[in-house]
Amino acid sequence: MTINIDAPYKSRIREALSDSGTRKAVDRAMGELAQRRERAVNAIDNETMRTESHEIREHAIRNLPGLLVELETNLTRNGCEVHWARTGNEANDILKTIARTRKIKTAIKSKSMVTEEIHLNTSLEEIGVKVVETDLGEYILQLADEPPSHIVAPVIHKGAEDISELLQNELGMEPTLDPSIMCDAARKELRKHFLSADMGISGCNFAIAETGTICIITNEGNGRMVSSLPPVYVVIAGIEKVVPRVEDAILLWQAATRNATGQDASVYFSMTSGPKKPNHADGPKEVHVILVDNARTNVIKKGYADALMCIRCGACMDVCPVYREIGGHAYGKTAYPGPIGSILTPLMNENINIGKDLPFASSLCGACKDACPVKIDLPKLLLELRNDLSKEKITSPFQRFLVKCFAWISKKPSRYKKATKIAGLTRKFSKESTQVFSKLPGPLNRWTRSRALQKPSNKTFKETWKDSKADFQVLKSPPSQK
Amino acid sequence: MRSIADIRRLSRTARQDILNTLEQNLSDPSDAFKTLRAKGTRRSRLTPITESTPRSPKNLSTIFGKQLDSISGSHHIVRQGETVAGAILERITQIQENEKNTSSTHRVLSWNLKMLDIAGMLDTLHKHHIELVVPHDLHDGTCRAEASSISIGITGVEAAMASTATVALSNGPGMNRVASLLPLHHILLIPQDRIYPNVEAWFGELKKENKIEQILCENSQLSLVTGPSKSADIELTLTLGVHGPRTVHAIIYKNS
Repeated sequence: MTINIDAPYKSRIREALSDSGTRKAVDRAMGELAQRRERAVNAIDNETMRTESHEIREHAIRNLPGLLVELETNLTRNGCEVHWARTGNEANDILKTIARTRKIKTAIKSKSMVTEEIHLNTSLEEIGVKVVETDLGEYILQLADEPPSHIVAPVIHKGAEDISELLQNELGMEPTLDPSIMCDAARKELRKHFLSADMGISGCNFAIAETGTICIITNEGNGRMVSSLPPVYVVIAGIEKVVPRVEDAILLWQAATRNATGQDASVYFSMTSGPKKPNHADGPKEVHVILVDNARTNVIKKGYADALMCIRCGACMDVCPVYREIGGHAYGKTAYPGPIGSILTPLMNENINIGKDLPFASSLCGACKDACPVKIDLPKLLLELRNDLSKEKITSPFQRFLVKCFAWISKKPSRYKKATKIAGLTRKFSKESTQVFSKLPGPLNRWTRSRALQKPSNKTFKETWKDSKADFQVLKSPPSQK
Repeated sequence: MRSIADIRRLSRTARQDILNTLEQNLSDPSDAFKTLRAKGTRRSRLTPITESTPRSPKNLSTIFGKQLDSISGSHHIVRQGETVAGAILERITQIQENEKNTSSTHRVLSWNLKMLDIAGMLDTLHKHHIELVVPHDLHDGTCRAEASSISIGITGVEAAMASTATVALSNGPGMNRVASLLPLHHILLIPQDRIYPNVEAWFGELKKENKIEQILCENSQLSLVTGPSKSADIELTLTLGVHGPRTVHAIIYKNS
């Protein structure tokens, strides 16, 4: 079952929580991915890798203007054409013009989050260009007409049965539950497209400024096909992808793969610097690089440059207890689900109402922060975002009223003391013999709809402290040992 | 519909806008970052992720081979008395047997192997009816059709890294990309003295010798390849050869 990603936040979450099949599949897969990741990062000096990765990314973001110009100069020297786009629409316009003037009929594409972000496929299809997704997971989703639900394992919400049925219907595959037979069927079909497409499109994992090199990570080899077989190759790169030196990209590549899939190295790391030379047998004749802002400068302006350090490994999703329960689609119409998505989605959308609830969809447990290979302090950013949203009066008035009440009470010890006393009395109104309220009256029942509320204690903490002072005295001065 | 001139104009304005906004936002006294850990410093030397102690070439061959086996590849170290051609023939026979192919001639998609300068290899392969197909232009329909019909590919390497069993494949005159990409089976010829402890060691050496430009830019693409093509998209089950080669076999030899 796929949930409606356009539905309002709360109904999306409810829908996701009631879909026990998907919940189990996602939870199992995330558990497995998290375990693989843990093995891979524990095998090395992870802390050093994280510190150095963080330094590289922070340095790059702080020096973006200079690095982007250096990248542009070197890409151009290598024979690439560099384009700049402020928005997704501008990037799509550039791509459409390239496609139209080269009379492109079919484009093959390797997995890329930025192209999801700017809805590139729909835009190219408008001018009659057929876009074929070539990552196996993305290809399955394209056949099913569904969006990805995880940035590394896009089709993780689907079971083998669903995928098999889809491939039987779409490709005429014989019934099977064997993934290798399903892969074969897809290989055969996609190979035709690889050999006949006239344009290849990919995203960019890292862009090396000093050499003018675009790096993409894949395991299947589709990235290498897309950047090698068609005569025209177009790279869509977010402006934050730039790194200064080759060794930076080599370090981040290993950090990304260890964290994304638990491999020491991805199967393919394709480093493209330009079009083929006349004496080369293969490679694209033209390479275009479209550098896209699409609200990245805005993320910096709002003071969340930390979030741009992300290398899209998906580790924060794999370890997130919320993501593991609800899966990626519950995060709504966004290319980036999970903890990092909860920060990027509201910041990158002009309409702040899109994704405004996401920063609250977190328990702030900090698992994402501990996992992040570039040490993004995700809980801190989520808290800051909540604060900003409340200041901009985007959160609900009732919620803001409650928080104001709490602040008023907490500001004076006398008020706080009285409030805790009153809270203790509420026990008396409950007929339940347990230690929790399972149903609160009136509007408060929203809280108890999905979880029980612990009853306040009869005594306040200070009273308890006073009573047990004698015990603490003992603790303070332990009997001296002879 | 926009013309090429239109998008060039658009791109120029966008460039100026993006760079100006970035300059402005990043130079704002209230820091653009919420956490200030590194404050923009960076170190000139990075720590290699995997094992980097210098080892003997023989030792590195063994490590490379073992590592490749562990990621679903296979390897053969050519010993005294054996030849590279012999190892290639053995591998081709193996593949033929697995695929129940009984044809006596075999076409193999290949680099121009003359460059590898292995004494007697080409003659021996020729004698055993191995036809090496070196494509000249993949944008030519016939050439492309021929290349895509072949199921075995042979290439050399730019370098090999022992700790991860990664090979660096560049493209250039006589060195095509497709021989290591389109066929179902890939055979790698790796001279022992091209094996480095790890990927950082190789790039470190290139940098020291000022060869980065030559390797990365002049060749238009450098691919680091680690084992056979893989996917785990269907329920995280490992499947091999989803787009690229399903088998990768390394033949490691001592250069004369």
